[in-house]
Amino acid sequence: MDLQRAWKKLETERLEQPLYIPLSGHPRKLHSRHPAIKMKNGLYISLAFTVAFLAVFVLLFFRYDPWLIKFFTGLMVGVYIFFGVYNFITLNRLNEQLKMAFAGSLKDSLVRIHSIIHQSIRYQERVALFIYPLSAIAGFLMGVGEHDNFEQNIQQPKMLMVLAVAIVIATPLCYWMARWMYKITYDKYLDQLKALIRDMEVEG
Amino acid sequence: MTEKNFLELIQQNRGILYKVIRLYVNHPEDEADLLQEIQLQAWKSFPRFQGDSKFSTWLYRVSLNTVLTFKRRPALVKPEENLEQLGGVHEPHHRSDESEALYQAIRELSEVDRMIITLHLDGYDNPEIADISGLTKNNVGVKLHRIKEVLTRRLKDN
Repeated sequence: MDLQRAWKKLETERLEQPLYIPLSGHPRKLHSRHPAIKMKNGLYISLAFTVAFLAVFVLLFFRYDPWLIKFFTGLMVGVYIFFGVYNFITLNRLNEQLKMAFAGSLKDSLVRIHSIIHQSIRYQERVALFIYPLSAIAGFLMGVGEHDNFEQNIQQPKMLMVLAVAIVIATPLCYWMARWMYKITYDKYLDQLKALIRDMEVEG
Repeated sequence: MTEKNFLELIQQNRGILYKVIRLYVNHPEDEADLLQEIQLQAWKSFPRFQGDSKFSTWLYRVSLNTVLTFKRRPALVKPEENLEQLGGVHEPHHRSDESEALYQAIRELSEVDRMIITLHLDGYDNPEIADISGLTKNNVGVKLHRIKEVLTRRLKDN
C-alpha cells in the first residue's frame, strides 16, 4: 500500500472533516483548561489571599497586647511578606516560561510545562509547611486572647498541650495533605510528560 | 495583525486543528476542550509569530504542543474499537479500508512517533520535523525509517 496515497485519503475522508463543535469566533473570550495555566491562576489567587491575610495579621498585631500573641502575629506578618514576595517571583518566572511554552519546539514545550507544574507544586507545599500551621497557632492564641487573664490561661498545661498538638500535628498534617492532594491531581500527568520527554531523548 | 486576520488564518487552516485532535484525543469530552485550548494558545502566542515560517507550520507546532501537554482523559475504548458507538463523536462515514487501516496503524504508534509520521506524510522534511519536535535531524531520520517499516508491516498484515 502506498503510504502517501493512503494518507491523502485519510485526510480527506476523516482527519480534516469538521468536528461536531464549531470553531470559536472570539478567541479573547476563551478560558484555558490547561494544567499550567490553571496552576498559574492558582498562584494569582494565592497571591491575593496572601495580601488579604497580611493586612488582617497587621491589624491583629496592633489589636492584641500579650507579647506571645504579638510574637506570633508578627511572625505571621513576616511569613506572609516572605511568601508574598516568593509568590510574586514564582509567578513572574512562570509567566516568562509560559510565553514561550506553546510556540517553541515540542521537547522544549514539554520541559517548560513540566517545570512550571513542578515549581508551582513545590511552592504550594512550602506554603503548606509554613503558613497553615503558623496560622493555626496564631488563631489559637488569638482565641485564648479574647478571654481575660491571657497570661494565666496560656500557662495552663492543658493550653500548652493544645498548642503543642497544633504545632506537632498540624504541621506535618498540612504538608502531607498538600502533597497528597497534588499527588492525586498531578502525579500521573507529570509522569506522562516525563515519559514523553524520555521518549524524545531516546535515539532511534 | 488583528483578531479578524487571525480568525481568517485559523479558518483557512482549520484542518490542522481537526487532524491533530483526531490523531491524539481519546475521549469525546477532550475534543471540545482541546479545540478551544489550541485556538486560545494560538491567539496568545500570535503576537510573537514573526512570519519566519508559514502560518500552517506555526499552527501545527502550537496545536501539537498544546495537545501533548494537555491533561487528557484516558481512552474510553481501545483505538481500534469504534468511537462512534459512544455517541459523542461525530465521524464522517464511507471511509475506505485503506484509510481506515492507516488511521488505526498510526493511532497505535507512540505519541512521538505519531507526530513524526504525521508531519512527514504532510510533506515536512526532516530538518523541519526536527525544528518542530526538538529532536535532532539524525534522530528524526532514524525514527522515521523505523516508523515506516512498522506501518508498512501493519498495513500488510491488515
